Amino acid sequence: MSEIANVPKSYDFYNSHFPQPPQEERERAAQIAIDGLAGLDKELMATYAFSPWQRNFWITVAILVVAGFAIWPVQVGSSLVGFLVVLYGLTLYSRSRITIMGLTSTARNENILPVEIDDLPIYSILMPAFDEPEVIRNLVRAVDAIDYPKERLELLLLLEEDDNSTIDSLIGVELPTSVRVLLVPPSEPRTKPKACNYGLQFARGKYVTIFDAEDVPQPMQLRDAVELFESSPDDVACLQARLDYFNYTQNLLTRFFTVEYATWFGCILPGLQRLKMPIPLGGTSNHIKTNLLIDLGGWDPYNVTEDADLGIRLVQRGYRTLVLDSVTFEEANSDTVNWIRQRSRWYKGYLQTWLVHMRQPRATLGHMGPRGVLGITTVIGLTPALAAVNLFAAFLTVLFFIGVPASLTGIFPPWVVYVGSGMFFFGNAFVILTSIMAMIRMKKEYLALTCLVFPLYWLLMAVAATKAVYQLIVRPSYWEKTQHGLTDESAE
Amino acid sequence: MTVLSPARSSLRMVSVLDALLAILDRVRVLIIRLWPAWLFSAYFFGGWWFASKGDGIQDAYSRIASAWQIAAGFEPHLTEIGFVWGPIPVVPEIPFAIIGRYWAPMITMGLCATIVTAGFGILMVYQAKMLFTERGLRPATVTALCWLMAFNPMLFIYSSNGMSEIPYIALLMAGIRYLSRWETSRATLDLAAASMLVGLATWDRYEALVAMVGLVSVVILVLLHDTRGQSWRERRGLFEANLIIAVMPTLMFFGTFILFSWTLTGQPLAQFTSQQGNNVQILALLRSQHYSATATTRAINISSELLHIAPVLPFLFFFVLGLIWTERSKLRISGLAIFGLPLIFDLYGLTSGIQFDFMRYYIQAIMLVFCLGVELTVARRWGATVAVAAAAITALTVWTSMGNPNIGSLEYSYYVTLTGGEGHYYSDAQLDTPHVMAQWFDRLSLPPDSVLTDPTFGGLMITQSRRPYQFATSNDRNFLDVVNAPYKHHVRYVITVPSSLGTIYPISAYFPTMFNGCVPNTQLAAQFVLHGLQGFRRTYRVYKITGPISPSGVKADEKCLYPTPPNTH
Repeated sequence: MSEIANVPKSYDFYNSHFPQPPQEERERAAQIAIDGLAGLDKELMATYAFSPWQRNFWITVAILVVAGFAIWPVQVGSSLVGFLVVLYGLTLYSRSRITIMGLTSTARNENILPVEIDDLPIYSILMPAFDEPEVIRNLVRAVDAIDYPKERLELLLLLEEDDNSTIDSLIGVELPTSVRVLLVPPSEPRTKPKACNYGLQFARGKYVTIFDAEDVPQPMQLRDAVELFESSPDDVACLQARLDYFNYTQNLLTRFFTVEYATWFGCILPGLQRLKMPIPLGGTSNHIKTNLLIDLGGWDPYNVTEDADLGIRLVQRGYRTLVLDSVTFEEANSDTVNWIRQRSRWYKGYLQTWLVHMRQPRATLGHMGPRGVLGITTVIGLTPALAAVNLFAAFLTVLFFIGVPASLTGIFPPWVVYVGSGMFFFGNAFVILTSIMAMIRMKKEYLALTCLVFPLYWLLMAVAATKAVYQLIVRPSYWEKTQHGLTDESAE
Repeated sequence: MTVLSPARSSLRMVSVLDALLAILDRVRVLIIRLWPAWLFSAYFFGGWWFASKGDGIQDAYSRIASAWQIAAGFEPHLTEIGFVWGPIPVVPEIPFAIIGRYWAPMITMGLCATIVTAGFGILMVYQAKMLFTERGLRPATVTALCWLMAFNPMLFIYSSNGMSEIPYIALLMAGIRYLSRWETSRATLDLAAASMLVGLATWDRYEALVAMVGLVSVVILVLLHDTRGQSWRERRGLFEANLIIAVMPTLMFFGTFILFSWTLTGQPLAQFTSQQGNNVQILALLRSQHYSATATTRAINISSELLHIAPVLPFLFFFVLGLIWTERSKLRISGLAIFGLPLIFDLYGLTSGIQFDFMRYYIQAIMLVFCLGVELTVARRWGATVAVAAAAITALTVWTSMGNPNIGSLEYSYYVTLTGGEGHYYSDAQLDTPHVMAQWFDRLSLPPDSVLTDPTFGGLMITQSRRPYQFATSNDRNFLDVVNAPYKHHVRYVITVPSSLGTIYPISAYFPTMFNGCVPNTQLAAQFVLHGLQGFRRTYRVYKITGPISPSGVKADEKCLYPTPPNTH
């Protein structure tokens, strides 16, 4: 294989090993992968971060705050601190409500009718990979593990045409019959959603899902998804399986990550589902009706959290997402720098998504109603925004305790001190408590002690969120790739 | 004139009767559904009536004084709730105390506190009703037990008098209900709700910390039962997670209170360390003859008092304990643990002399009778009859205990009032003298913070004043500055009590001889005598400050002894 790798290869060479669709079809699919959504509504794409009015609005706010603080430091300072306290309070309230609804929801989807093996439809799996030569090992393992008739399973491995190292690693390997390698023509933006959009054009399945190369879904997941789809009303367009990590014992960071995901998938998403609020989809293991996804224009190739964006667009079109009671195991990021890189991309994507859907607030309100707008603002917009503000809030808290200069004591009026301190203590305690409750619900009680030091994780989140805000302004569509394969094998 | 045939006439009568019965049925349903409103009215007007007869307890008025000072202060500040008492029930009283600015009885008769405890009384009965229903008791049994709880003499009086007992009992009752649900469901939300309610109760009474120990005991026992046969390694995660949920809210509530208290007053546990706290007051009382009995004598007295108040408790306790041992899958131990452990703690406190010998500490015994009765009903077919009978007997024995001033020292005045006697003489909160004092000060039209006193001894007077802001008290944030240099801080009058009372009265700690007229630049302006419980008298002297005074300037010669020995007064 190393000899082959040293020889410069052409598209024709690869085509001979992995037959590709006709060139015309490839070009058409590549074009749709980039412009499919734009054809429906250009304003729904994150090709730019801020619309003109949004940019002007935020610049005006920034100028007013800075100028106001320079002229009336106490009045503007106290108003800002008061505003923050109210914002934290509202977020805490909505998060509590969502969590409690999630904790009291029933774990399993009820009234699911079994589907006979002969009635199972063709199922397409999109598996995008870039610069991951080790993908082959996981790919074979994943296909073998899935309990679905192989003749009705279609796994589309999506590789960039110029990703020589990954393609080379597949040459000479006997791939399972259900695997089809698709080479994505090189073009900008080089993002995962663009590759998925390309693959979507060739998917034959009634349903389609995405798995990352290192994912380990539960064997019955596809059949569970079919059964839930077939038992649900027509407006259910998407199912989100739970994500979990197989390397949680590797270090404190992977434990934190596992706690976070268990809370998110075990409490928050079921809570959002019960409250009929938009569900931001996770990066993988979301199962969607293929035709409907094509009608929706696929994923936004410019959005770095295209999954969250898709979840909102589904709601805007009147469709629902349900939580599928099945787990996909992933690799938790175990390196702090790598984690910050990944998290800052997610946060940037969340902010992008919120800004995109707030470009026409009246239309969004019309599509989603007040509850939907509140939902996306709380879960999508405020999550990264408040995480970024946390650093500033922590600084203010420290400032308050070590002593504020006499001229600025007024920025902490008594009501702000009482409410703020109350939220600092009770809010943090509440989040820790609900995390532990989520651990019990998800049968991960062994992570309870990790929850007690969870505030350390919030500090990391604050750093990532600050970086995300910076990147949103200077490099809105830059895809910061996460490095996989950092798992200490003994931790699995 | 049309004459109806007898058949048609009787038909019409039947239909009229049907309509009447339907209306009556609707009225009946309305009365049943609106039971919280009726019960609240009973507690509220009961409290008003007691106050009009002069019945009350000083501690309640001390809290009202704090709420009143915030509600009618010139610069209201929440820290003025003081940290000797927890924020419950003072903080909920504040909105009603504001009404007191326009309607005096809200303060002078303690109605702002009555409203709060009446609300908690409703919560107590409601949570009990839900617990009884969720435990599968028949509606008739539930109704009978709820009536007996709502109108148990002790529970009724404390639901109407503004004290902290009923909020504490109501929160624990709610905690028991959720913990009992957890015992059945293992739903973590139920456990979290229970621990939060018990934690919140620490903002009312410190005994809730012991209730938390009870809650933790239940969690441990249930988990041990669930995981029997497993190794510690397998059990560990489950224990850690559930115990954190059980403990964390209480630590959070209590810790926050301590932190705020420490930050704002410099005293993390003012109840134990403050001059107005229980400990200091009890130590002072222990010096007197009344409290000099040995521990054994006290233990006998206390056991005897407990038997007077709840004679059925020992029978119920041992019988239900036996049932729990044999039929643990059917029975729940939440009530036993959450009311039982604090009761044992209080009985120990009474025996060892770290608690006042008050009947109100036995209130948990009354609740325990109900909780044990419920389990008996679940376990045995005849249990319902016994439970209702036990609750009825307890109501009766509580009533007779209140009629004995040696047991119900604070409750006796209520008993006298309810039996048609003249109760005010025995009242712990005798309002006549404080009212006269308050009027005397009000007539002077003094500016804010002109009169130095404290909310424990001065509380009754503050509630009778229409100008509560004229009093500077130990709840004020700048109290230390004020008491060290009163004249500089515009204080013109100081209320003093005999130094024999020691430093329970914080002003005495700084000016121990002022009562005897031994502080320069002061002159006696007035003297008031308070008549209290069983011939009790206390003299207040008001000194006018005519120039700068400081604690270091206090004379201590042979004429003005420092301090006067307690037993010479």
